Amino acid sequence: MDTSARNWTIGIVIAVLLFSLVGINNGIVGKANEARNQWANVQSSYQRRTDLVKQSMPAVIGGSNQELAVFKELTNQAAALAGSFRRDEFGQPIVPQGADAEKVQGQIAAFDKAFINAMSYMADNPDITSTQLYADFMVQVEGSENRINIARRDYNAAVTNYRNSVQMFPGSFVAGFGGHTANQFPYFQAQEGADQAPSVDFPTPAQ
Amino acid sequence: MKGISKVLYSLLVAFMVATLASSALAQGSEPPIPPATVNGNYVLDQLDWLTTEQEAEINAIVSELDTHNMAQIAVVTQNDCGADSQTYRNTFFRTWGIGHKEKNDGLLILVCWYDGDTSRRKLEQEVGYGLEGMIPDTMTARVAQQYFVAAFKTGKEAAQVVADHDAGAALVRMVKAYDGIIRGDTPVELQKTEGDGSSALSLLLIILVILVVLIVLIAWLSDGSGYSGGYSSGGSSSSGSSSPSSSSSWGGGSSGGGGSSSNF
Repeated sequence: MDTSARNWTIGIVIAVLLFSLVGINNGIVGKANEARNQWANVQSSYQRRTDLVKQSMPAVIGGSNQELAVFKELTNQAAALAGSFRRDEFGQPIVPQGADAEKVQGQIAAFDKAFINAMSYMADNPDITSTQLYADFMVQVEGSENRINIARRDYNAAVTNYRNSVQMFPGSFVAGFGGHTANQFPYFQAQEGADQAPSVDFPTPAQ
Repeated sequence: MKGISKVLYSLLVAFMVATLASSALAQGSEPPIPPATVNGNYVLDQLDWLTTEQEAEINAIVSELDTHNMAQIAVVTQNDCGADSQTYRNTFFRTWGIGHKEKNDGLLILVCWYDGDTSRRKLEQEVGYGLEGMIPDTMTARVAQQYFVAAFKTGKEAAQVVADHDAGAALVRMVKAYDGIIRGDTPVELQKTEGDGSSALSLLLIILVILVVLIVLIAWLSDGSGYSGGYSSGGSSSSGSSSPSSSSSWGGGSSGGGGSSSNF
């Protein structure tokens, strides 16, 4: 092969390589954005539960119960959680990383606990449970819990997808250049001690 | 009321403990999702609850909603929905892709029978993102309560309710109620349950079914442009050129867990 043909061949091969690298990088970026998108869903599903606490719960528990410690604690935790979900200057939710992630997930766990305590109190209080408001409220609570569960699963799936694309070849080759790290997005994980059931008295369902 | 609330509460707490303890639920015990229905069939009656007429009625109603791009309703009866029927229904919904893809206007009505076990059997409903505004969780619970759970509280044995196709009729009534809600006709409280003994009514329904089938055939023959068919797994948007021999009835919509779960 003469020099110019060889140079053309090399040039084309390099061009093809570069384009594929760009393509691979774009794939990784897409998956990173998907993980952020799913995190936004997680945030909004928790938002739904804090909204339930702020808006629907007061009517259900009635005026006199709102001063009780268990409900004040819940409202505080809800506000703290809403505060710990941060957004960037464009309003996009920021996926917390590293130490921040531990803090946020700890906050979530604290909110979960306060919520269970409040729900337990309500379930034992016949004045509250006998209302239609409570029945509707329980449907909404179940719905919001289901959404939280699914949002977390979707987020974890998106993180796995992202990690796969970054850690497997050929993504691993490109990832460093684009600044993509495998641990950029933390998984939603169990908190220490969360695998022990909260110390709440579970009423046995009456038949 | 207290008994029900305690059951609900225990369910909720168990649910939350599972969420707290692990973010990844065990997948192993979930039964496989049956293949999606095709060709304008919106019902998968694995428990044989519905008569042919009832099934045709439901298909007629949903077909109307589908061709007018208003919603897609799936009615499925199944015995085993796995250990967690709430998670299962979401997987089911997404696998089938219920609802038009751009609007996510799908609704899944899933009966989880568990051999009639009163402590496990559930009517699960999952609502797509786009329909959640019109059909919030509490409304699905009310529709379930008013039209479905009530059918099992008449004093008859559950097995008898099923054998007499009362359960099937209840499912038809639910679909009609949702049809009314989606079209904005009448509020749920005022929905009248149709008597199913009148022969004039059945004649009307048969004519309606024939009309709808004719419309569907015409749409199908003019290159299937009436359907937003085609299986979608997060890929490109659905086109109008789906092959008519066996195209999925579903538009590829998704859901985020909205809906409700009713004991009966």
